[in-house]
Amino acid sequence: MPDNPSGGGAGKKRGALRSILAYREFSVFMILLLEMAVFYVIIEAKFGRGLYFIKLDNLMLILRYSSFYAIAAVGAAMIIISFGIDLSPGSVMALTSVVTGYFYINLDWPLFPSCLAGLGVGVCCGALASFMIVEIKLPAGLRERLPKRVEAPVSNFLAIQLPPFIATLGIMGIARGLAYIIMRGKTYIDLSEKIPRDQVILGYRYIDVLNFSPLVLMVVIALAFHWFMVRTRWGRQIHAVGGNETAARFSGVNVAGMKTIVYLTGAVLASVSGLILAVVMGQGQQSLALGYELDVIAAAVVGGASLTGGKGSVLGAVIGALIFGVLHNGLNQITGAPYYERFIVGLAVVVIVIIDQYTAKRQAKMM
Amino acid sequence: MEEKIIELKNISKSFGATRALSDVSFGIKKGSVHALIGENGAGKSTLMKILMGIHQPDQGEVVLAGEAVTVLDPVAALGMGLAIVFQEITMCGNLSVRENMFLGRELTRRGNLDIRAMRERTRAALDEVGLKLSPDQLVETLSVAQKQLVQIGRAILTEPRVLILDEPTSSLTRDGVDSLFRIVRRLHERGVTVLYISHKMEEIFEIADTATVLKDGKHVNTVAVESVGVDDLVAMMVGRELDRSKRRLECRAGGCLLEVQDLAGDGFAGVSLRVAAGEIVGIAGLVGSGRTELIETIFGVRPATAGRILLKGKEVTRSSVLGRIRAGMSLVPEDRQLEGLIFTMVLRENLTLPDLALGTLGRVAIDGRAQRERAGAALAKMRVTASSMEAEVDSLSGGNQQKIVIGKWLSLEPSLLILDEPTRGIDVGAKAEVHDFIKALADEGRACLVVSSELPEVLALADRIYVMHMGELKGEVSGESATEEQIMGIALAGGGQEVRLEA
Repeated sequence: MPDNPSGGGAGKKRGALRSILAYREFSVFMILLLEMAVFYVIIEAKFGRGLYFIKLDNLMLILRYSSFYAIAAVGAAMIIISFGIDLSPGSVMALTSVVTGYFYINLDWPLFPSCLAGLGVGVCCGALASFMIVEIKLPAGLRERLPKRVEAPVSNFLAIQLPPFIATLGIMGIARGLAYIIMRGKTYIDLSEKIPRDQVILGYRYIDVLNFSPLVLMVVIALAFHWFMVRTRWGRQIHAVGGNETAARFSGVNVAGMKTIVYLTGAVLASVSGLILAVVMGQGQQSLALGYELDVIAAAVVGGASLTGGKGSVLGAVIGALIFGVLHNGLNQITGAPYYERFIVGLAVVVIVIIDQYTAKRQAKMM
Repeated sequence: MEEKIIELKNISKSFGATRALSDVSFGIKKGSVHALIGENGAGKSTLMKILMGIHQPDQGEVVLAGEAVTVLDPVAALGMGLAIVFQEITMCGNLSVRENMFLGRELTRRGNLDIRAMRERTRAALDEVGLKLSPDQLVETLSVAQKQLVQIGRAILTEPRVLILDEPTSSLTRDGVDSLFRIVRRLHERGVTVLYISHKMEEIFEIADTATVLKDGKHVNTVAVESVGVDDLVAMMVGRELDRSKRRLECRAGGCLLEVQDLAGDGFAGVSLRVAAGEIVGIAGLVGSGRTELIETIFGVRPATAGRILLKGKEVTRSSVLGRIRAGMSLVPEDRQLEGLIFTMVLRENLTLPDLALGTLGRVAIDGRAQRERAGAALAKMRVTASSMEAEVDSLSGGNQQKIVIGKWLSLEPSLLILDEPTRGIDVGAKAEVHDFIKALADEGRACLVVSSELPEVLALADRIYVMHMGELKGEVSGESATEEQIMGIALAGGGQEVRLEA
């Protein structure tokens, strides 16, 4: 059954437009612009403060608020693309903020090493997740050298693979639990008092650098990891694992390695978010980011990540986080509206996924 | 007892272009143990499904106890006294034995479930099949053999007139088989007719009194078991016009490319074989003889428990899949949809996935142009009809999909290409193309290891054929001179007279 080549000479232009539209990033970006337009109209009409909504100050506020979600959403997107799931970002953020605060204030370490300690939380949580989720095999040389009585139970133990939902659910509890344990009932650690606000670094005030860093980090991380997922070998192999793990394995892909990459990355990025919270917001708090994981997953899904694996976009996830950031900011500027936030978020996710499935079915029918 | 309980008259059934059954007519005597034998694809399962109401015949009629009937669905079949035990386990693991036995047919007393009665009947049924289990035990805790016996118990509970057993011993242990034979004999004494589908000759000769042979969807013969021997049955199952295309006459004596020494793994043991450069070696055998397990172990997807594998003299027994690919091995797996293709990625990416894993298209960033070149070359070489390399995989026909699975290895120029059922489920044209492709690879000096259930295919392609039986390599025959009967003889019974075993 020969397939007819699509389009012709005249159809080329429309083909180009359609192919741009096919990019999820583009359509999500359109939704973002549309959302901002809608809020502008409503705020202008009801309160006459539409211009304030659009002003740079407010936009910076939106960007800064969104960056916590956005950075973690990058990790979530990668994990979902690999057909995994991560329920721990919120807890990792909280623990990171507490650990950073603890080293910086309680142990009086300098700022940079304290931040490294905080990132260490991400590394450990990611490593733990990978250890539980991935099938680990002893290297053949070691396997032979160990006596059978030792080798068999060890191999069996290492080969255990927990479903990602369960493994990250456990880490969600363990990480936040550790944060509570470290804090021992104190409400929060205040980092801001120790941060040298007015110290000048590279010609700018410290405090300005810190306030600007979340945005810079978000943009850099978004671009870097989008490039990683779309244009590097490992990114494509991660897509393959998510699309069909067995077929990927049969093609020589190191499935265990790819899974380790995504879970480590997810945890470290969540940790970066926690670090931003600690240093920029100045607070190390154990109750931070409660329930964040669902928002982060929602952002990834809105951005195009499919929970059946193999599909998704890092850039889309970041834009998805921005959409929710604009939503939060916009609703707060309308009296009586903030209550609607969770409702709209839930609705948006369902509607977008329905549209996704519908267009996928239509595409399949046209083939 | 000359009365026929079932008579099949001119049954024909097609699925699309495939003719599963053509004009099949034969009778089953009441109270007999009647075996139904034939190769894979001969039509046995289809015929049974028609009897059970799962399919409707395109032509012909089923006569049950003298009356022509239309079996509308499995429930109707049960009502007519027909019960079937399938080869696959189709029970709910999370429910108990009793619950599974009475699933859909629960006993009730005044509106409530009569658990006591069901439990008693279950206990009786378990006794009958020789299982010492509690009726409350969860099915998922049982071994496969035990589950199969429970399924048999479930069928017997309905007190059928005709019990159909589809390859019942495929998952049974020796004890389970003995239990099964006891059950069959007891049913026979009670006057129940048993239809026994199997390709295990030993069993048929032990338990059946009549045998019907199907071949290519047609009825070959129905005979009394005591009047024939194994060879007769094999000849009936297999004898057909061999469509041998031009044999390659040159002797390709290349170096020994693949050497497998005493390899053991999940489902097979003690396998030693050799493949030389320029050779096409076939592996024949019945489904379940361990062929796929063997080649998956050679490729590295399954771990080996003993033995060695050498490719071009280098030991790869410990290597990862990627290591073996790098050494020159490639595998076209049995199930292209589950194991060979990634439906969320376009053709270009499917075709270059091994390159990405190896790093031959760029150490970090992917060289887009090189990737497109390779994908294009593969599409052209395999002559795939697709709108472009950016097309989705599911827009392709089965034959083209199979070409993609084969094509992704091309740019790596593998020394050894292993193919598992490479032409299963594809149209005749694509099939011929794949065969030509395999021959061309051998001509280039590469080696091919082909697993196939289609004897004509194996005989047409291979220089040498290994035959597997129940997890062991039982014979090696020459591709030139072997006959289908020879191969089937080894595959069915594990050892034949005319076999030349090469050390």
